Amino acid sequence: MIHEMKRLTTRIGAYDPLDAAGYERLGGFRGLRQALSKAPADVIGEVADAGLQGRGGAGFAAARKWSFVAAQERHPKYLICNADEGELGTVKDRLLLEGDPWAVAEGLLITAYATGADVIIVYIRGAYREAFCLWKELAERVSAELRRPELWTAAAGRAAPELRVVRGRGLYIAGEEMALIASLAARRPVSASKPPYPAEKGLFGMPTVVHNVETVANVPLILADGAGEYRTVGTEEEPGTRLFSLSGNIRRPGVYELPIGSTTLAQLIDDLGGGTLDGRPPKAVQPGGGTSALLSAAHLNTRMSSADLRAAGSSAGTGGVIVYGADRNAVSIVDELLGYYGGESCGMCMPCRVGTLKMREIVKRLLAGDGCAADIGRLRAVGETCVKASTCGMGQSFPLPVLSALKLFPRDFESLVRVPPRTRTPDQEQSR
Amino acid sequence: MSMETISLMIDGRQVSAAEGTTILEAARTAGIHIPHLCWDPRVEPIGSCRLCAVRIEGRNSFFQACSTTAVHGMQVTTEDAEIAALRKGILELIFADHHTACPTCDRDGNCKLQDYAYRYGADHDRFGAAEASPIRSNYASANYGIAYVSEKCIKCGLCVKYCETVQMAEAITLAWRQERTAVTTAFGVDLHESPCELCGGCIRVCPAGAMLDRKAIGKGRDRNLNRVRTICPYCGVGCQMDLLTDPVRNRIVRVTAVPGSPINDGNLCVKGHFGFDFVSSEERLTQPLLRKADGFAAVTWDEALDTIGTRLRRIREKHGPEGLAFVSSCRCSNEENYLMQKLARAAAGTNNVDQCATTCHAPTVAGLASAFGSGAMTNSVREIRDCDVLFVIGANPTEAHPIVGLEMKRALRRGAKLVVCDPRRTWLAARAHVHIQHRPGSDNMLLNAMMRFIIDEGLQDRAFVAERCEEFDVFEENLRAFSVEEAAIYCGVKAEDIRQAARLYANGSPSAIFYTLGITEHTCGTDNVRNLANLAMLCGQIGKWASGVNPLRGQNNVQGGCDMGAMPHKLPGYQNWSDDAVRAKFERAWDRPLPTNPGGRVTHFVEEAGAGTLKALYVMGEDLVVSEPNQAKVVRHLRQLEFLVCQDLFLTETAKLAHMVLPGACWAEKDGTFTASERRVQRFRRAVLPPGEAKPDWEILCLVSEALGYPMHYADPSEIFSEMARLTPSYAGMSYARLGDEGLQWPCPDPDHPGTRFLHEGTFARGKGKFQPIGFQPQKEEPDESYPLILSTGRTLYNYNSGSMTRKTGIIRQKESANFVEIHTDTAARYGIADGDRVRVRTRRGVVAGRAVVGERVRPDSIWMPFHFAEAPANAVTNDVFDPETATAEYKCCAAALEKAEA
Amino acid sequence: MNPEQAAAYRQFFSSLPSLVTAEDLFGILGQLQDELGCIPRAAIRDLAGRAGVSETRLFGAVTSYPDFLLAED
Ligand SMILES: Cc1cc2nc3c(=O)[nH]c(=O)nc-3n(C[C@H](O)[C@H](O)[C@H](O)COP(=O)(O)O)c2cc1C
Ligand code: SF4
Ligand code: SF4
Ligand code: SF4
Ligand code: SF4
Ligand code: FES
Repeated sequence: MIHEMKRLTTRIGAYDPLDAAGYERLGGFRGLRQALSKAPADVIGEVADAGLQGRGGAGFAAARKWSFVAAQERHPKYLICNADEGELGTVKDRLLLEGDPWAVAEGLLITAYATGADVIIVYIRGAYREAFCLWKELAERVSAELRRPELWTAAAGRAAPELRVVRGRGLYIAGEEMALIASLAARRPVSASKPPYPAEKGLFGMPTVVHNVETVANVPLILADGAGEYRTVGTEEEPGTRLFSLSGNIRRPGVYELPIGSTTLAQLIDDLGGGTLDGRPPKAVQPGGGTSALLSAAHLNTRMSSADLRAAGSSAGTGGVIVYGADRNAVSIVDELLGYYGGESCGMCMPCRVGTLKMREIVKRLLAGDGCAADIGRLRAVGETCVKASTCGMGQSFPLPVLSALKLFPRDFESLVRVPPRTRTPDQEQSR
Repeated sequence: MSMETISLMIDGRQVSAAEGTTILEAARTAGIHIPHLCWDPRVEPIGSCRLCAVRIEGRNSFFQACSTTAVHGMQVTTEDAEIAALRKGILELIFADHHTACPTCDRDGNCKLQDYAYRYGADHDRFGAAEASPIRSNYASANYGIAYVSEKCIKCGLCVKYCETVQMAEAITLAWRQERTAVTTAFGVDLHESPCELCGGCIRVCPAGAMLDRKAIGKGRDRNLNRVRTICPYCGVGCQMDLLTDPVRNRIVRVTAVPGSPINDGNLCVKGHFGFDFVSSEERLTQPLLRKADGFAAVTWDEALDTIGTRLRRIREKHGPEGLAFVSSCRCSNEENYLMQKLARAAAGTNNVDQCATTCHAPTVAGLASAFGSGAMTNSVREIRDCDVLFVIGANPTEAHPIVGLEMKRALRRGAKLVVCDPRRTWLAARAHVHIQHRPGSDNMLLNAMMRFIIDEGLQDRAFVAERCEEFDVFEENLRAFSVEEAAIYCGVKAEDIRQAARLYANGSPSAIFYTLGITEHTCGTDNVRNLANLAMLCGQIGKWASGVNPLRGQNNVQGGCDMGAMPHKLPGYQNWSDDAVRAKFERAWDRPLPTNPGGRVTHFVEEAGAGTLKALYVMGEDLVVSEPNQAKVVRHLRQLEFLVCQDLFLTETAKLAHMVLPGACWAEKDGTFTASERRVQRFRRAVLPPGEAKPDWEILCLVSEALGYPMHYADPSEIFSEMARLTPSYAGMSYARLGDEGLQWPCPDPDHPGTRFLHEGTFARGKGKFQPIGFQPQKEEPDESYPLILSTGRTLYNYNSGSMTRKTGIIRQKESANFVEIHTDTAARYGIADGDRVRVRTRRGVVAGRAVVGERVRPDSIWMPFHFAEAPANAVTNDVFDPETATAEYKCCAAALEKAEA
Repeated sequence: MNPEQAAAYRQFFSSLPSLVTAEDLFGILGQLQDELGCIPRAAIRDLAGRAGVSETRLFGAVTSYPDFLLAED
């Protein structure tokens, strides 16, 4: 039997989220104080030693982003906290935003100090109304706290960063960092080719660092107790804990914090989640949110680390574990996923803009019984083209569940083909 | 800023490129084509089509060649089996969003989408094709010029990016999402109601046949059209363009331009892109017309030439050669201008030959020649983007010289600083670092104050002044009478702005001056020009790359018209006919003695016609009634002539007064050369045949010359050009063969000379630059009680001069159909005038009406009006007082009264 | 826009500073949507003018969000 390990979630429910003093009593602001006693470069060094990686999906080393931005001389620099959390099956950021907002704020202040950011923007998913209202108020309290000389001014030697809170407007793609930056600039919220990277040319063309909420929440821990202590859990390549959002066909859905790599998918599902509703092994699981590839029951012994999940053919993504029951048909699973992602392409690049729509269309056709054998080939072709050719993570990953379903559960697709293929010569068929 | 060169391997070939270039650009320079739909050299990479995917050795994903910077030592593979398969896959998805209908598509035969589909074997129907939507209206449906076919649009974003960053009009955007994604204006308002400037750029960049020339739809597919490379016939910038013509129906179908063209880099303005309807206008003259008692009657060419010959000869016999005068045209070719002055001098025996530059840039020629020894734009358009400080005075390039305006926009994007001195708040002024909105006519006060400040602060370039200039002391002495504070009061601007402008200009590295008619069209026009020359010399801001004094010429061939000697006091190449060696050279070549009368300017011809001393006037391609000030007087005087010949495309206001009207061929119907403002001599080419019996002007001039007893024989314009080049040192190294597609910039003295980018490097044309003390003289007509406002006139983006060409174009009429008067909000309030009201502008000479445009563009003490509208001719009210040296009229300002007209 | 919304919009707009920066735009649009339940056409024009960006650009942006509702004046 495995148990949760509460590092990020330990204070949740233990203080009134607006109460800075309550937070401080529970050990808050130690990280910030420690950080301010060091040079920014040393703060970055500490985070590098801790090996902190982004929790927003891409898993990029936080300290590397920081040093790019810190090296830039232009101001204002921006720090954006990405709280748009739109990935299916993922609710961990909400828990932190509402349950321990001061820890997120503290992490942001440390990041701002280390990178030299002048403005912090927290971009909160539109549907998280409560979180937004709370943060509006919190922003004022943060600036009040920052007037305490020991918390910022005296130590940092420059004006405290300004904290702004912005609400998203129902657009999944606005969580992708380039689209997010465009959104905040009141431009069309579409992604863009990188380079240039945000660190160099971000919001309004200025150096910008974008972080997921959970990533930021790790920062105070690292500074308060040091990289060595931080590394005592997790794996060598991926230290620390992660928040796993467990949902779908599961008895006890919820957010669970575990050391990275310490548990298998099966343990997570059975020990913490209480197993599937009918007790049978699941048909499939998405271990890293709605755009991660499906794993079948055969993969349930995979450990929950990026490396292990990658080896199994999927990814750690956002830590959103979605469980599909044994009675599900793979085509209906991908139909459900495409029902959401199929409408979320930003439309900037052609493969993804058209590919989302076409995949959704083909799957619908199959489910309606109007599909032909060539449709399966088409589905795979669109998916592969999107993965290889798309600009951003959206187009590169939304087809992954479909492609994995085609590989793992080909019969589910084939059994839906009703219409005989149009008469073609073998030659033509091959060229398709 | 030194540019490092890097070297990389592309497809196994060693390629060198400037640091910072993308893989796609590097490949292009090596002649390797990487497929692309959403890339254009003029805009930042978009990255939407993904076709340019390439492989970089040692990296495992694909990279977009259009947006990945080439790095030294990189090894790039632009195509292998996997890349080809990927491209096929992408194309098949693109086709799913493109109504593929090549057989009925205007772009058929010149379409990248089509070419790539063929190359990669992409099946356009693999995912089902986008359907042609039942006629759904969009923002362009009501536009006469541009059509947007949304089902063809692949949403690459190129048109939007061009509109936003090159034209900087921001008229269109992509909007909505998913299946609804489309190009639109804000709220889908009709394009001509939007900020669209109708530059046509969105059409020219569209890779998918979704943006089309509305009038060309169905008039011919690219595969069936001829492409003729030529030069725009409108302003003096000299843009290169391609005419796509239907050889069977003998008509121009549409116009386009190719990125990388010498002056305009494939950009055009509304006139260039759309303004060719006049070519096939019903109103074109097709036969010679002879005035009879009851109006015009068509006659044969023989009869016409006979009449002209007889009557001109008779007048010359009776009144001497001085009884004849010839008006040449800046819209005609160099060859024709050369022939016209040869006709006047050799055939008719008079120096009475002139052209319209009198009305605009003669002060430039006179002023710059006296200071530097040569009167033309000293830099090239291409250099503008490298300016650090742009000093723009009395010029509104984004409207009057739009492509120069685009280069200035480009400079701004690259961080250049901008000083604009203009009584109006123009597009550039609104974005300037300093805008000096000085009182019309106070330029010299302003310039002298600036120069005084520069000297006081020690910002001048002492070494340059000492080594390269002369007569500095008198000039400096003169400045003592001026001060920034006094100038600020008289000009009505902030003293600090004057100082700031002076500092910016003097310290820029480099700075360049740009000006147009706001400087020249004053009684003190020549002085204004000289003072700009003073300013440039004082700061050493001339004779360098991106640094100099740049008059922007109005008409397409003003520069050439002047170069060709179509003016009384100069022979081709500004050679003096009083110089014996020069005389001898021309007399030998022309086999006639040269006349010695001083000759007059166009304004004098009009005066002398009225006085009865001038008997016959031969006008080619000019509408004096509309273009000369004080219209009623011009008509009265021209009526006095015994014989008036007009050679034109249309029956213009002037032609209506003529005794003989000859039908000329327009630019698209003949060959020749134009000389652009930047001194670039470029070939334009025949694309269609002239209507009816109309003939190229050079042919007509030869025939007339023969009728006058002086036969001239040329097989084609290149022979005329060769004769001219032989006699004109600055053109001596040029020939049609050498001009090619790029042209050559004079001076080009010998056949091995590469032409001259910028003038006065190292030494001035006249040796030393000459400082000239310039006093201040107020304008001739100060506002008073009965005429309390200052009226200025000028041009707009959409129309051109008297409008005889542009106003025949539907799209232009749709955008700007009638005369208007710009009035300051405060002034309008004082007169009880609201935006859109009809108003009347009264001066001592007449009244014109127009619609009020109320805003902050003009000063409260001034009003402004365009001069393009024949039914409301601004020049009917302007002042016919002249610059004493060049006879340029003071169009820019006169006193006026304003009143509201009843609806 | 119904009359109440129109009045609310006038009220909202008159309380804005005369110069807004591009940084504020997205937030202001959101506020409008939250307070009025829509973004009036006039707001696009007015905000574009005050922030010195084009109406076109704002229109393109606003139409991309499911939660923004554009309303005719
Ligand atoms: C389609 C798409 C949606 C995304 N949505 C989110 C999101 O809602 N929240 C988030 O933190 N990151 C999201 N990301 C990842 C961000 O682009 C970015 O990588 C991340 O915010 C960086 O933060 P990190 O380094 O702390 O992980 C998304 C990426 C893509 C491709
Ligand atoms: S992959 Fe999709 S979401 Fe990403 S830029 Fe392309 S169209 Fe937009
Ligand atoms: S744009 Fe090209 S591919 Fe499309 S219909 Fe026209 S010619 Fe065919
Ligand atoms: S014609 Fe020019 S200004 Fe008008 S929409 Fe097209 S690109 Fe923009
Ligand atoms: S109209 Fe043409 S250029 Fe514009 S987005 Fe569509 S395909 Fe691209
Ligand atoms: S040309 Fe590179 S993505 Fe279109």
